[in-house]
Amino acid sequence: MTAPEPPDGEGNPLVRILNVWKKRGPNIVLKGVNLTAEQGKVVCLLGPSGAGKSTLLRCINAMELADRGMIYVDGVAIGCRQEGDKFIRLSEAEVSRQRADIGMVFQSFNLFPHMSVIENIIDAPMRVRGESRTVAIQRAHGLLGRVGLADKVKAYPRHLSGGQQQRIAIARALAMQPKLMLFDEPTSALDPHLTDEVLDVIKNLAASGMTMIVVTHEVQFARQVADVAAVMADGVIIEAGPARDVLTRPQDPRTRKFLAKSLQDHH
Amino acid sequence: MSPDASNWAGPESSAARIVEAPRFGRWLCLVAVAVGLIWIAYQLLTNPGFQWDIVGRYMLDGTVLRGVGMTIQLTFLIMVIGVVIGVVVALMRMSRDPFLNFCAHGFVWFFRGTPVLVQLVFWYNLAALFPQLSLGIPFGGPKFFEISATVAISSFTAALLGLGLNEGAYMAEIIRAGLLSVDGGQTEASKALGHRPWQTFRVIVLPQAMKAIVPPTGNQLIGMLKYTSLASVVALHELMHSVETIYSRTFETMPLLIVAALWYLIMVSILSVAQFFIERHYMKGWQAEIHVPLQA
Repeated sequence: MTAPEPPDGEGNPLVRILNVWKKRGPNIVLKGVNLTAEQGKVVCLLGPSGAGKSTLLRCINAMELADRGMIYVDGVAIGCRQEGDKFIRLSEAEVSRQRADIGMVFQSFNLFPHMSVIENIIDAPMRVRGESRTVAIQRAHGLLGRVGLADKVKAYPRHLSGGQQQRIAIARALAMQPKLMLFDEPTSALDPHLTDEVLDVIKNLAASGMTMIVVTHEVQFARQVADVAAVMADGVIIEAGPARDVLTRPQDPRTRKFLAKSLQDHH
Repeated sequence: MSPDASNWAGPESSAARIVEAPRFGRWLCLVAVAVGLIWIAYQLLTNPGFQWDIVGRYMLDGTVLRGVGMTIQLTFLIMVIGVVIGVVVALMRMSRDPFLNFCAHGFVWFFRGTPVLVQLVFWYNLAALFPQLSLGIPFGGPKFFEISATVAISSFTAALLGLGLNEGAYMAEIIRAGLLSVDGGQTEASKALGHRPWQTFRVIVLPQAMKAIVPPTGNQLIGMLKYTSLASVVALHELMHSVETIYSRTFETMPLLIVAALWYLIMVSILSVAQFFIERHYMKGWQAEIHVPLQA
């Protein structure tokens, strides 16, 4: 795969989202979104619900297809290939190869209920990457230790708490050794007392240098972990920049309103 | 031994005691059912019309056994055809392609909407419509292969086509319902891990759909085992036709119908046991007793 050179002045970011538009029925949910994520950095996507955060995230691994605009991950155009000045949609099978390098963690965990914890983790490395069982199991044990669930190897998802399930889901995504991790509101479906165990795992992952894009409602968490914060409203990014600036000295009045409201909700 | 409430003598003896209400209705039903069963047993043993000696003689008769073999063979092949067609048609109906969707709809509409007996006789008499079956370019183009319809369509192929296509239409709906019962997040998680569409279907979606597919499919299989008796109208020597040929010669109608009924009961019983084990297999991950959580 050759990397086409998109016009971009700064460095060489891992993720480049260039003027992405997306329609769903009569609604335009993304209206020309531009965003980059540097290697090893954590980008938090914030904003009121219905702003298009999750849709944008899901476009990055082609779970949803952007109607217009390009997304590059590590120089590879996602969901299409370039021929001259034309972009041609890839088939589902071809897209699946691109997705293997991008980990995704869902709001509702989506562990496979008919597989034990270890099977959940080793299946894709074996089936998609063609790894041997021994290698896959060895890495799975390491990852389970990292998320603090080394004793749950043989458990089935049904018997785990939500927080445990989400930690397993993170381990499952990491088992593919992704270049990039996408988190889609990873703690929204959890009881408040279970969110910390998941957020701690994500914080450790950030500290280890993983590039991550996180859609979250947890402003407090974003303050602690994000390098870059981007605030969305009505399908556009209204404010983006170093998390410290955006989350403490927001320029846009809508950002201020959103931050004030989410702090209110928490206290 | 479980503690008997009446033997409790500790401080709990002062707590309020709860006794079961008397169930007169249950006893009444028990008596009614018992009387009915005794009457049936009495009839079975004393009514000379059953002719149990003749039943015994024909249970392992060669013609009957060949009929049983044919019934099993036919049921098996029809279910294979039905499941293959069912999976393909179900996937077509669930696809976003409007043309595939239309074709699948049309197939289910036609083959579920006409009586299976009519389809059976229709295929058997296909020669009346097309005396020659050929493979080639239609509307007068060259033919690569040609066969007489009376040769190609035997009783057996007519039964396979008639019952198999019908079964395919029903299985398509059962499989579609099963696939729809799997949460969409499962497909998403599978895709996100890089599984190809076929892997997502076979490894993630289908095993979970099986939980909803197996019970009605067991029903279909048991139904089909008995529906094969319809093939007797196109003179196929399955179990029903075998006993018919015997009693039309000997006039021992009742005992031979009992022979057929007993054989169907035996086969259905075996299938029911098999179904139990298959259902248990696909409950993996949902059943508490299969898995004992490992605790540190």
